[in-house]
Amino acid sequence: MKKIRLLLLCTLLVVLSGCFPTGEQNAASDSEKVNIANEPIPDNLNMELDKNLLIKADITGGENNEYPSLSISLKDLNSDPLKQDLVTDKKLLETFKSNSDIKPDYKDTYFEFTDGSHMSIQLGAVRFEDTFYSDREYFDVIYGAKPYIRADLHDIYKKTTLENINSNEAIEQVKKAATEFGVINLGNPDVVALDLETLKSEWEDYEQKDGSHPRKWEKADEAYVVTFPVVHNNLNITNKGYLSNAANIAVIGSRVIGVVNKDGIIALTLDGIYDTGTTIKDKVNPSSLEDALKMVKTKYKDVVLTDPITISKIALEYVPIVSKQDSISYELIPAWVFTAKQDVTSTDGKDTYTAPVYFTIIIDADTGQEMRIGSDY
Amino acid sequence: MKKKLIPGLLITAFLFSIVAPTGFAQKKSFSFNVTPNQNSGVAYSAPNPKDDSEQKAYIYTTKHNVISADRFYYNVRKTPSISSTSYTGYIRVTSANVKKIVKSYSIKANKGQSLVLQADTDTYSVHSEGYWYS
Repeated sequence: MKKIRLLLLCTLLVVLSGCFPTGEQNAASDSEKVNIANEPIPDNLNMELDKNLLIKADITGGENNEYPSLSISLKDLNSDPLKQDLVTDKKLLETFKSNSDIKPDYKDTYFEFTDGSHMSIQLGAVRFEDTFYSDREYFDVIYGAKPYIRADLHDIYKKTTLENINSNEAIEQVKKAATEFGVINLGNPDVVALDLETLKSEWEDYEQKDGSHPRKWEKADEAYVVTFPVVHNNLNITNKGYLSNAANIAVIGSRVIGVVNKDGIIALTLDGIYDTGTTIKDKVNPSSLEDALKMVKTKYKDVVLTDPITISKIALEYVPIVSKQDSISYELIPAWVFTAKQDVTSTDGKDTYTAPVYFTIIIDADTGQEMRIGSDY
Repeated sequence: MKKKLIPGLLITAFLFSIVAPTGFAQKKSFSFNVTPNQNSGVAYSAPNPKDDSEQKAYIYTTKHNVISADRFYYNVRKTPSISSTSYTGYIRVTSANVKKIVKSYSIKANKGQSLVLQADTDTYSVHSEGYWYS
């Protein structure tokens, strides 16, 4: 099997060397070069696409030859939310409603419970936080400054299991909670274990708004972060989000995130959940990975990359977009999604510092063109 | 004298109870790189679900390159859009206040409600990062 794979890679290397201009090669010139047209899409790719444009990526999606594009709308998840297992043992303190920014006739609803926990229901979104969660720094640990979970969370928290908490049960709890809100078609879960040792090593001191300092982590704070992709037509809906330049709104992929400790779910986020509507295009034959890579290369052809860019994940996924027809409704289209990282060095006159910048490149798999999007969201 | 003092203390305690922060709040980090001619000089933090009932934003900037000639602003909004409801209006960030800004909301924000912090620059590119309480 390994020999067959090696032979395949060598063949692909020859194909690619004919497809791409032969620029100056660096020390990684013996990286595997892969592709693609008429060949099964490999599980991973390790190559230098261009000078300082590197690919060290796992590849997912793309098993089918064609996918429909379709209209979608943000799902109304406000169906008896107080009857969900998450909150059935809680006593309601206050309910508050406000107009939705997305749809004027829809009311966002906020529930506060007597124990301090809270839940919000918005179009396509549910957020629940137990006081055990909000009284601790989980949010900063899991998300950092990002709208979705930190790209480096897996790199920092390497454990996948915790003592005294069964990861399979945690997965089932999150799956059940999402299903109760009407989020079905969940794909394969991903689990990160927030273990005490790593939580402690990541702890930072700072001034809180009351002047105090953050509490130290304890054994009882260990928890799992469980995420699920939402799947449609055997293709994951992306969990990426972005600011739409055209519509001046955030367009969010589908996100299912649960945080589970020894007592159960302490936080649940469902976001970018859509109802699917009519088919817009019956059969979209996705552009090849090779063509998508060419487009990524073209993006940087006139740019001198002094700080290397590394693409760490490539996925053929469904991506929500604002409709080109009316800039109000949404569509779901197959697209190649590239997750990229660049360590950007900046000088502000006093200091020089380097910080990782994570960003996404999306290639419309129907047109083969890069989608023009604002920053990740 | 003693009779007047006790009701006074009780009133003070009552007033303190309604203006003091209620409950613990989690910090949420932000990191902005804004340039006047990119995205209209605007960027947004991740949504910050409000987890207490205090009607103020606390914004701590721990790293930045703000100088006196900058026209750099923070603004707390409902969603990441320049047409979204603002809870604070534009707050000019200067080298004098950059370390810590506390601003009351002009509209009530409920517990559980997500708010975002907008950064906006008019003159020079600005990098700022830190944390805030919605």
